[in-house]
Amino acid sequence: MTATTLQTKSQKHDLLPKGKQVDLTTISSPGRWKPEFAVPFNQRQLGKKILISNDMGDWDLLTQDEFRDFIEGKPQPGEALYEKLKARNFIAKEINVAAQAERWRRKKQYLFYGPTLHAFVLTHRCNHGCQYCHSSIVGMDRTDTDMSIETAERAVDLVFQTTSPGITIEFQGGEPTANWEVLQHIVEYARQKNALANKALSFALVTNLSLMDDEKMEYLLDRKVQICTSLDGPEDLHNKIRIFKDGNSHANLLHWMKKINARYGELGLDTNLYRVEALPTITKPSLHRWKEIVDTYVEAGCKAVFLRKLDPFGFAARTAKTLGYSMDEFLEFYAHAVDYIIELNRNGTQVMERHASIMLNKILADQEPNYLDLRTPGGACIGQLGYAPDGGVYSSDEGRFVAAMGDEMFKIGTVDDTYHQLMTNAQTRAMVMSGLNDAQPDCVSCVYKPWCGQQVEYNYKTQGSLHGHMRDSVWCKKHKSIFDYLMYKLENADEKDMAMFRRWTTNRQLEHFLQERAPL
Amino acid sequence: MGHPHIEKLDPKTHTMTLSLDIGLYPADVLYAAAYVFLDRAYVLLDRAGPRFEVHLRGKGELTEAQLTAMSGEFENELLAQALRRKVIKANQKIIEDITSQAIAGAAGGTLPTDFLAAGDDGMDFLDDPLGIAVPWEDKFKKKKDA
Repeated sequence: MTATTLQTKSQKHDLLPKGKQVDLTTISSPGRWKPEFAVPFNQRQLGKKILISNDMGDWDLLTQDEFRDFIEGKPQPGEALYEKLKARNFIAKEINVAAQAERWRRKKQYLFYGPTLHAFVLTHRCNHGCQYCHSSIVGMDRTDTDMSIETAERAVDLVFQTTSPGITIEFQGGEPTANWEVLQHIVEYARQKNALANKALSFALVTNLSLMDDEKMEYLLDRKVQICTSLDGPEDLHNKIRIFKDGNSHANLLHWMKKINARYGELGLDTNLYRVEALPTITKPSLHRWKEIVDTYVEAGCKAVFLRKLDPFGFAARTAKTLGYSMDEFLEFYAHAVDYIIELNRNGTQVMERHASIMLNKILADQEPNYLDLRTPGGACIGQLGYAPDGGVYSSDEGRFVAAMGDEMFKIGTVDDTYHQLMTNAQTRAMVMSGLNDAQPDCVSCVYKPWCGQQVEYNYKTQGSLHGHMRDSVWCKKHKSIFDYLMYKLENADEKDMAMFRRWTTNRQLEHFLQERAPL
Repeated sequence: MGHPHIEKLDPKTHTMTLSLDIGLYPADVLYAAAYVFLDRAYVLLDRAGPRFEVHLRGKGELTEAQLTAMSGEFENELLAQALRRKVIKANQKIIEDITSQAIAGAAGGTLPTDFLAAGDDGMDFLDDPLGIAVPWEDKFKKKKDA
């Protein structure tokens, strides 16, 4: 039976099962509770099992009887349930505080240093007219929207003041290669600065590849700039959404992806690891084409697909009627697509979905991949910064998208400010505090709290406040539903499936993209 | 812990009023439980003598059966929040110890425990057994008679 027939025969509730509050009224009465037995935990009913998790990131799926015994403090040392709960750090008197402190520190490393990701908008010019574009793009003749070399240098100076031991400078736009001279200058200038700073420096380019040529490609390869692009799926779908009047965007994209991937091989790099990264944005016309989208990625040699929902920013907000969809529609699409990806893996094709990979990394591998949208506090300001062509500094790329819609809420300063001013001003503090799971009434009692996170820009844009209110937030609904989906998959996984999910938690080692120290 | 009592239920206006003894649940448990319903209903909390009142008005149409089910859900949510509160009250210190140790360690090491254990040795802040606060002029001045 193929994946498609499996899915079309699935009942909707089987495709995307939902968790719910545990019915405590039928399980136990308060007089029987023994609260001193357990560490603080949260719970959620998933089918017949009850998922419990604690703040350290441990979890287990209990039967109703096991859960009753747990909250009533009945398990005794030596019994299977006691030993299981002890091993997973749910029994208060068995907690090794020093070991858990070390574990907490390891996973929360990002709290002890400043922003790592620095998104440079090199220009607002672009030759594509993507219907969902987040940015305020302009025509290719508008060179007045380019970042100048002077602004670029000031921005790089600011970047190097971060207390983070790692720096990633990401080139964005518009189409960043339209301002090629400044891109090169930033790379060279940052490499020179790093001769003294000696940070783990890397570069990433987000490009539609339409202005790529051999000379640019060789420079990017020589300077170890990671290349990322947008691929929305099969040709007709991609070209319909990503409008390019000067040619066939899809064909051009695949041509350069193939060529660059081949060059990675010629350079002796493992082509399973070193590839052009591609991301789709899911629009209304994509919803029923989950299989074709996944197939396009597999055929292009991609090892991962990041099924990204349409953002509420930029053109996407304006074209919501034609491109938009409900969260329920997206989640159904997501479940179909990931079911299909799982089926492909079972048949020997190794490909994964990025949301799932990030979440499983936390759940199964006890790692914190520092994905800025799923951490607490969120990544705004203290995880990333966005730099506009005019020197404005924003809380993030999304903060800059909001600005592109005429609202400077997330502008925290300019490249002329000091790092200390940017990191300690009132806006930054407000964003950090709003992005805490422990400051959200719903999140504090959510079973997914140890692995979830906030994006204050999304809260603001969709609900009108930095805090938002998670109970009717589509952000919350999306992540909670995907967590539910994955937990059901884990509960029902056989050994082969578990091996696959564990493989998805393997972090790619991309040392090649780290810059060596440039000569002084 | 007792059940919330349905005081009023009106499917025509999608409204329901629950009441519960104020001695049964702390106010923060009531707030937390009420928050969970904000996606489906407008919630107003009030007090009438010895009872809390919870006024719920559906954001969409709600039948009598749905309102009754919501009453049961509210009771269940009260229990879940009460359990959570009790466990936190009993063992929140463990989580605080873990996070404070983790942060203290990351800040660059902590004082040796024996140093801290030494505690108050009977000195006050004006004591100066090593003479550190004594001005050089006083400490090394030549004796007039020398």
